[in-house]
Amino acid sequence: MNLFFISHIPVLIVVIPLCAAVLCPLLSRLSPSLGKRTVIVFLFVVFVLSLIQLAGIVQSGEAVHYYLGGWEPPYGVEFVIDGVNGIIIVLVSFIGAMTALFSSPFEEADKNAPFKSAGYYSILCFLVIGLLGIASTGDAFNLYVFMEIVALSGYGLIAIGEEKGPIAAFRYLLTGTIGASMYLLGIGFLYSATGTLNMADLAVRLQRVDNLPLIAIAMACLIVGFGIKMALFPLHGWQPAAHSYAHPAADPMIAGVMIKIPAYAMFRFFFCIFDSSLPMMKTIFNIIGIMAVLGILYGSLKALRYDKYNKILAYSSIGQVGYIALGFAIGNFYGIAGAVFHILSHAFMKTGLFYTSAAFKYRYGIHYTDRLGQVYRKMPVTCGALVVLALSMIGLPPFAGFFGKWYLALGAIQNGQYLYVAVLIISSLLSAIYFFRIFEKMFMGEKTVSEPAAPEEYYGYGKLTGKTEVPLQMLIPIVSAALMIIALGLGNSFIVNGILRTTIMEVL
Amino acid sequence: MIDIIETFLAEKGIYMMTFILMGLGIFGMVSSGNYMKKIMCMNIMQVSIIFFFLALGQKEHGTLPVVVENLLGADAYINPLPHALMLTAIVVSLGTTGVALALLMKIKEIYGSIEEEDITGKRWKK
Repeated sequence: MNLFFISHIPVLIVVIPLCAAVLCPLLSRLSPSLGKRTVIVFLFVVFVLSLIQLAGIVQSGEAVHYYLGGWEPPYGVEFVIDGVNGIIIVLVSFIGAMTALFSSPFEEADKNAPFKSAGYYSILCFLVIGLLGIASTGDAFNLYVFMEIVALSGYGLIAIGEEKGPIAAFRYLLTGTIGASMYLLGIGFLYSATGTLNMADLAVRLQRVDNLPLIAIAMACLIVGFGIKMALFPLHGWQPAAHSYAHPAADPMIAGVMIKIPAYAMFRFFFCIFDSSLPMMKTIFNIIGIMAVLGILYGSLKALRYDKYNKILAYSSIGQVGYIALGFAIGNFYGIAGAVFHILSHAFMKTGLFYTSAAFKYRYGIHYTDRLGQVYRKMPVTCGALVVLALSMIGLPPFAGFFGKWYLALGAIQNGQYLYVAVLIISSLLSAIYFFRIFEKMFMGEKTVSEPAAPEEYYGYGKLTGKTEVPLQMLIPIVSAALMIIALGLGNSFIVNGILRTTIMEVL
Repeated sequence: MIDIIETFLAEKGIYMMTFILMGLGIFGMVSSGNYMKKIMCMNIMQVSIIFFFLALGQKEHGTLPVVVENLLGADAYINPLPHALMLTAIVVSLGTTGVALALLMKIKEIYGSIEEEDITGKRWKK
């Protein structure tokens, strides 16, 4: 019985949140808070299951294969979980559960709309399902379906946000659909050449395909598709508005995780499926590298221009996604390990920073950094976490952000690509500038922070209840994000050498 | 010369058509200022990709992949997998269009218009 349960964990990780997403609106009819609690509990169960799964993979050192419905590949759909996506599944389920917990005070502020809040939790759950599905699946078309689940729930969560939410969501919908269609076209080309959609089978059969232009076109389509989904530099147009105007409670999930998972899928395609000895691979990696370098510089410079906290974070995300793409462009062990490590560390950093942004909005309705004056006196824990996360973004040694950049730099030096090292250093300095500007406003701003005149601008009622720090449900995610940054930073050697090394060495 | 064009069109003509259709769709999404037209062009683009897959599954003298009397060889049937995939893709595109229309209604409610230039206040055409 126990063994039966363990062997079905890969699919349970996706099915349990699916049950929660469907049950949530029904249970909310019975009692307003029941649906919400179901979602939070189910997502924490998924987090525990993903940890069990990762422990099993690390112990055995082998990938887990799960055949859906007992149909063996290449005919059926399979889930393949190895070191790289095992840890990414842990990341997604952890942040998903934390974000569901984080959202509850926002919904309590809106007491007379239980069904609306049930819809919110349901959509959030679908977002988590899609992300977990992309991370687990070993089938190219299945990945497309999960990608669209992510995109559709993302549109919903962006649209229910602030006033400009619907227009940002609509723009993202148009761009995102082009991205998904390009991905579909790319796998259409690969299918026409190989007649299979299973990723492992594709990798074997593509070695026998000698139609190089076709593979090159498929790669171009995939770069555009994933590039749009992960907001890589010239394809990032939808991202700043979508990340600034999304629902403040769901924004951490959207900004932190939703753009990282397509980056992981890019790793799957460009290293696990395509043969690295192909003649055009060097050109493709150079193109990704140019996009990454331009994106890093553009994102960091553009972030300097804005006063709006969310806009600064959104533009800095464009730069940080560039780091991940840079790791793929470097393409050796340290480059890929740095990229995957940066997926993990940046997911926690950006999620944590958007948690603090939502906390400021919740209590004081603050959208602009110049209103943050002396906020550390009112919200000491939130500001402490913000300092840790921002220092990690800049890349100071004990925190996780430093080690991601460190591995990237090691990989670049190993390949002799010193331009990439220079770009890493310049962008760290630029991010120091925009984060220290926020610190200056926070700690040395002259005007003390206060409640806005119009109460509809913010969600919390600090003035009425006499409280200044955010509620516990919001503090736990904020603090845990900061703690995870420290833990990742201290445990970086275990993650890179203990978990990621076997998988990455296999594909090189 | 005409022979070359004829064989090209016979072999690859359907693919050229789908790519022209796709180009038209993306061009329309970029150039039109009305959001409803943008959604229509998005649908045209999605349909072009569905055509592309269906053309892949087709072959000469193939019949429906349904066993009626006795099983013939694999050559006798067309490939059913692209059709199955495209059923899923059609459902996805239906969902996307539904969400897009819902968002459009919300935009109309907030801004009172679905014209790009009314919403952004920028007149960049002509």
